[in-house]
Amino acid sequence: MRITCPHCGNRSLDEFIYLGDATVQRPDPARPDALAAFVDYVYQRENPVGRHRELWYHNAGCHAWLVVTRDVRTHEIFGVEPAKEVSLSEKTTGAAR
Amino acid sequence: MHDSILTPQTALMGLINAGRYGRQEGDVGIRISEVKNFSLANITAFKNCREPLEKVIDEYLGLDLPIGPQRIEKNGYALIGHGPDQWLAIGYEENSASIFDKLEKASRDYAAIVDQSDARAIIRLSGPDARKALAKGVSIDLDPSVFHTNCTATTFAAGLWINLWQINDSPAYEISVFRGFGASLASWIKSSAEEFGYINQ
Repeated sequence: MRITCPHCGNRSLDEFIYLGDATVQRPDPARPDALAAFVDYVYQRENPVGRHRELWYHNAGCHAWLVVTRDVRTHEIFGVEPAKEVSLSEKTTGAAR
Repeated sequence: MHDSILTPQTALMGLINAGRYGRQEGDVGIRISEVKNFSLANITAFKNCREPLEKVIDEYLGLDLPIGPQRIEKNGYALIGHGPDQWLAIGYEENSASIFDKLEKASRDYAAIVDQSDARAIIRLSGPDARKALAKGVSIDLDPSVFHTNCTATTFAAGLWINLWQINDSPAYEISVFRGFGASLASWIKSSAEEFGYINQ
């Protein structure tokens, strides 16, 4: 599997570190049910088949966090975006994608 | 009482000794040398500061900031893009360190500029077989259609974290590693170059 880093170009898998689900959102700690929400946020993960959004870190290259949209069965990659931009656009639109 | 005499040593002193090595028949495929007496600074732009930083860099070095993994060289200075809003500045002349010092003072509001001159080793690799020797250790595509003069890459070579850039079409490359990894890099390059025959300069 190769990932096309938006900063560095097409790179081998061994340059990256996998973190996991990029769709989870940090809950507001002021929420009344914050404890339960944080337990979910930290521990609960879906185990989807097919297309998924994941966080990868370009360890051997530009040191940027990336959001990779990947089919977890076929490893086909549909898109790679800088996590910084994804996060900023979520803040602007106020919604997770 | 003895006067202590400290002699500066280059990162690869004694590791790239002049002579022809490897395959002895035919033409030499590769030339290897250590880049000595360079100055090197790491530049990281602060948020939304690219424009003012660009002006200061132009004033002191006469260079544009490269966009993406590119290299721009002029008058003995080079800027090498190695990540978003991050560059390496290299001065090949003796007095470059003092210019980087002035640059650092002038751009404090726009970027973190850190002198790493003594923290790096740089090896230059050139000749008709340089690409083939390099390709044995890096996993990026070095074909001239996608990686050519003034392209740069931050990647692994033989398990070492490197900055790589191409300086001309002969082809010639420069590879930078943290100084402590210099001996490992030199060792790998020499064994990789052996089948082509190489000259150390």
